[in-house]
Amino acid sequence: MKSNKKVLLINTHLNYPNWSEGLLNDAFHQKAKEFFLSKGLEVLETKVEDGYNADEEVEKHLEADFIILQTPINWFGAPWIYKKYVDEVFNSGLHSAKFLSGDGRTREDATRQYGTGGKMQGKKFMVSSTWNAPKASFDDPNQILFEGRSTADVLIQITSNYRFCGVEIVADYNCFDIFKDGDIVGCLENYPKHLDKNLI
Amino acid sequence: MKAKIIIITLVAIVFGSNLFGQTKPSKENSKQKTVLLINTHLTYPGWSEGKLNASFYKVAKDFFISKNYKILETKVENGYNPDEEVEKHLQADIVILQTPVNWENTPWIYKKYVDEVFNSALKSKTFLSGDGRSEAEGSKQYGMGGKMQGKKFMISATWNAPKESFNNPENPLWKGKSADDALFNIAANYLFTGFEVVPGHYCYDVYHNKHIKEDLENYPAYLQKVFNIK
Repeated sequence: MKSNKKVLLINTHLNYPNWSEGLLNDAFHQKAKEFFLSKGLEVLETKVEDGYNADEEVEKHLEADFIILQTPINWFGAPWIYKKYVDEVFNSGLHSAKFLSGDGRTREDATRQYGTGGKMQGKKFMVSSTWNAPKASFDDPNQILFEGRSTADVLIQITSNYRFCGVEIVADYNCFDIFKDGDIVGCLENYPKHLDKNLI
Repeated sequence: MKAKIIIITLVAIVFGSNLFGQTKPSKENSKQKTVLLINTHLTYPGWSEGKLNASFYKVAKDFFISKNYKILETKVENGYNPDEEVEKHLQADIVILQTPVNWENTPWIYKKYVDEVFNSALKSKTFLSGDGRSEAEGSKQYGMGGKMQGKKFMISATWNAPKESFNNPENPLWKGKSADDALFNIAANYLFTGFEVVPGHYCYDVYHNKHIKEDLENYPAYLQKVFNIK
């Protein structure tokens, strides 16, 4: 099967020796890569920890039809190297006006259209993340920390940048409770189905 | 691995060793309260030089001095020692983060600060004993392992986004979410460690805003009200 589509797979795990060495995130990254190759897509890759050129990352985003971020959750967000990546890559995409033309507001109506200045319409973005948090802590108003929030609510810090640039956000994929009771094998097995349903 | 840390934490609980209890207020003036002011603006020469964040920071500092608070300060961009930052958090009754919003969140140097400081506190078991599920007694909910009860955290942020883009279901970006919702990832770390998080103070639309002067003038009254300071 041959597709003319491209996917950018970003793995932003940060290595903490003897604590978090990235095997799980790497396994999800490889699972996604195998899936997209089997569907005939061209795969572009970035391992943030290994370094990158911000301008080249902008070009990869422009080429890609789908962008997937593979990330562990460290302190309720991606590891800090990912926000550095975002600040550098999106600043480059802003300065070159390749990701967006502005924040979407016009002189005629300065308040109504904030967030509509993106140029990346037609592309799709997805987060695949690994959590210490258990599934039961989300989507439940009785839970003390998230108070009913979903994973997508917590990940808005990441998805909002893509939405700001016109990219459609598709349902995130999450592997919960990875240090205790999480079903890691099942999470990995079911990942291709999620990709198939939401992206292909 | 985190599992190891949780096990170590359990052992510590079982043997009742609470070696890292909260720092007590200074004996010479036990009534004096302490505030930690963190400024995490990141300089982009010729684009964002940090004057606005420095202005809000100074208003907060002057306010707390006038209320006889002890002031602890951190300018993230100038460097820090994570273990010392942990100690400052332990001493503080109130922690305030002053931040510009860069790509819908704090500059990356702040997430680096969080990862380093909170990792230090996790390993020393000072901010939290675990994720709350391992406690033998009481509730077993995720997020109840914090040790920082009684302390309060607040974000003061400067946004390009206009106020009208929030709490508005018709806005295509935020879809009805509040500014606090957008920054929930920051609050979550403090909630996770037992802090009370009070609503943020926000200066919106900073590139077009004609009300910055007013926002600065109104900031002390906001602080006084939100922290219930006499």
